[in-house]
Amino acid sequence: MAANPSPPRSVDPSALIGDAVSAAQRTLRNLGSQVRLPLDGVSSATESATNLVQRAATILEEELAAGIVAAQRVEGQFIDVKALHEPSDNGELLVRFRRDAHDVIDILVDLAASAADGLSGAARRAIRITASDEPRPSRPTAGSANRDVIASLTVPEPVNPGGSAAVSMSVENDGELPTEDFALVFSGLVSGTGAQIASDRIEFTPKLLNLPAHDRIRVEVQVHVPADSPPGVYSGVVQATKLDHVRAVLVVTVN
Amino acid sequence: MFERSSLSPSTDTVVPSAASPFGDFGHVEAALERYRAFTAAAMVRYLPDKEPRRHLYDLVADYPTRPGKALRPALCLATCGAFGADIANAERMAVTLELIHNGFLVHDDIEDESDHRRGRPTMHRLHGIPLAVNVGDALHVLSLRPLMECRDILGPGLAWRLFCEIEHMIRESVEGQAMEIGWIHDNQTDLAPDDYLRMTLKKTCWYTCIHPCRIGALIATGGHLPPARFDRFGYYLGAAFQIQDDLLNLVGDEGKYGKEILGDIWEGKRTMMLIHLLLECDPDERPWLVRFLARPRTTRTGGDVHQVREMMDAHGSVEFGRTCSRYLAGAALAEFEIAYSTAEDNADSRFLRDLILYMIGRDL
Repeated sequence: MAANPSPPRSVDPSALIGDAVSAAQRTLRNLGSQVRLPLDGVSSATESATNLVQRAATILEEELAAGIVAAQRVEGQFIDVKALHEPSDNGELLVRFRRDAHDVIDILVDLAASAADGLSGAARRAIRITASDEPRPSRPTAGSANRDVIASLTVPEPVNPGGSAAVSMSVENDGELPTEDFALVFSGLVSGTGAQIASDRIEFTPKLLNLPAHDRIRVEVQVHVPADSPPGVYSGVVQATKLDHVRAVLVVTVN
Repeated sequence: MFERSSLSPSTDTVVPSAASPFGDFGHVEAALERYRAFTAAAMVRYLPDKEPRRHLYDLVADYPTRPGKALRPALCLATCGAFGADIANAERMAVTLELIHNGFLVHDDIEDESDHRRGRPTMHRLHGIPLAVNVGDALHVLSLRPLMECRDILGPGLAWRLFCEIEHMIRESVEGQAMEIGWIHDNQTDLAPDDYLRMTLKKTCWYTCIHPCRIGALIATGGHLPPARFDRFGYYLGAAFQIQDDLLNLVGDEGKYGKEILGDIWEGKRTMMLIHLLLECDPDERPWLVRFLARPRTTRTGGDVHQVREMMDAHGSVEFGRTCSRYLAGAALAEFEIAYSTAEDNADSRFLRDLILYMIGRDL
C-alpha cells in the first residue's frame, strides 16, 4: 500500500482529551457496578461524559474478569487434546497475561508424591498458581502423577534498565486439606545472550505462604532490573519450596 | 443473479465526504477503500459458484458487495501492517471477519424490521424472511473455511488462538444483541448510560473493533504480543463508533446514510440518546414516552416518532450523545498511543490513528 502523507490538522486531538482520559486509565476496581452516572443534578453534559469514560473502563474490567473465568472452564476441556496431539504447543496455551487483580496461572499438582515429602497425610490435593488468562489444565490421572504443567508468567510491558515492574499471581488451594508453610524461590533470570539478572532482584510479597483448604492468596512479584542490564528477553523459574511440582517460568523483556 | 466480477476491486467506491468537523479525512476513506478492495478480492474464493444459486449463493454475495466501509477487515489488516507484517498474512482473517459481519447484518435487519441497508432494500424485504435467515446462516458457515486455512498458513498454535478470538467475539455479540432486543421486548425504560455501555461492549465493540485489532496483532507478531493491550482502545473506539452511528440515524442524510432516518426511534432501540431522554424528560412527558415505546412498531405513527425526535432536541439528548462520542474518541486516542506504542510509523498505523476522529466526524 502506498504511504499516505499526514493530513493537515484543523483540530488538535489533544483538546478533546481532558480529565476523562486520565480517569479512564486509572484502576477502577473499587467502583461498584451499581453506580450509575450522575445525570440528576449534573450541571453539564461534559461532566456526565467524563464519568462515562470512567464507567466504560470499569465495565470493561468487569466483563473481562467474568469472561476470563468462564473461558478457563471451556479451555480446560481442550488441554488434554492439545497435549496429546501437539505437545510442543503446550506453551502457546498459556497465554494472555493481564497485569491486574484477575491474573491467574494454572499449575496443577499431583500431591500424591508431595505427601511423601512431609505434607500431612493427604491422598490427593490441588494447589494452583493461577492467572486469569491461562487455561486450566485437567487434573492428572493416577497414571500421570509425574506430569508437570509449567505456567508462563510474562511481564506484559518491556522494562527499562534501572526500572521495575510488578505482576500479580494467585496461589490457590482447592484441595480438602491445608498446606504447610511454603515459600516461593527464584532461580534468577538469564537472556538468550547469556546476560543474567540475579535472583535477589525478584521479590515475592508475601514471602511465606500458607493456604487453608479451598482458599487462595494473591502474590505480587516485583522485578528490579539493574541499570546495566543488556536488552533482551530474560526468563527464570519460580519454584515453591516443599512442592517440587509447583513452578512457573517468569519472562521479562528489557529494553 | 450476481456477477462474480462484482467482487473484484470495485469502482463502487465510498464517495469522499465533505471535510468533517475534525479535518479532511479523504485519505482515511481512500485507505478504507483499499483495505475493502483487498478483502473483497480474497473473499471471492470463498463464495461458492454452484447450486443452489437462485435461493442461496446468488443471495450470499449481495450484502458483501454493497457499498460499505469494511471497517473490521481494515482494523485487522492495518494492525497487522502497523506491527511490521505483510497484511497478506491477515487476508483470511479479514475475510472471516467480513463474512461474519455480513451474516450478522442480514439477521440484524430482520430483528430490527429494517427496510433498507446500504441504500438498497434489505435481504428479507427482497426475498422474504425464510430465505434471508438461511442466507445469514450461510454467510456464517462460509466464514469458517478461511479460518480453517489459517492452520496451514499460520501454524496450528496461532490458528487455534485465532479460533478462540472468533469464538469469543461471536458469543459476546449474540449476548449483547440479546440484551438490546430484550430491552425492547420487555419495554425496559429504566436504563442508565452504563447499561448502554455494557450492551455496546458486548454487541458491537468486541466484534467491530477489539477482536479485529487483537487478531491483526496476533498474526503480525506470531502470537507474541499480548492482545489484551487493544481491549481499551477497541472498546472506546467501538463505543464512539456506535454512538455516532446512532446519531446519524437521527440527524444524518438518508441518501448517504443508507438506512431510514429515525428508524431507531421507530424500532424503539435503546440508544444512548433515548436512554438520556428517558432519564431527563419532564415528569409529565415520561408516561407518554413509555406508552409510545410499549406499543408495537406497526401501531406507531410518524407524528409520534417525530415528537420523540423533537423531545431529544429539547432535552439535549442529541448533544449528550455527541459529547459522549467525542470523549470516548478522546479516550481511544489516548489508548491508541499505548496499544500501538511499539508499532511502526507507517501508513497503516497512521490510518488507525486518524480513523478515530474520522469515525466520529463522519456523515455516513
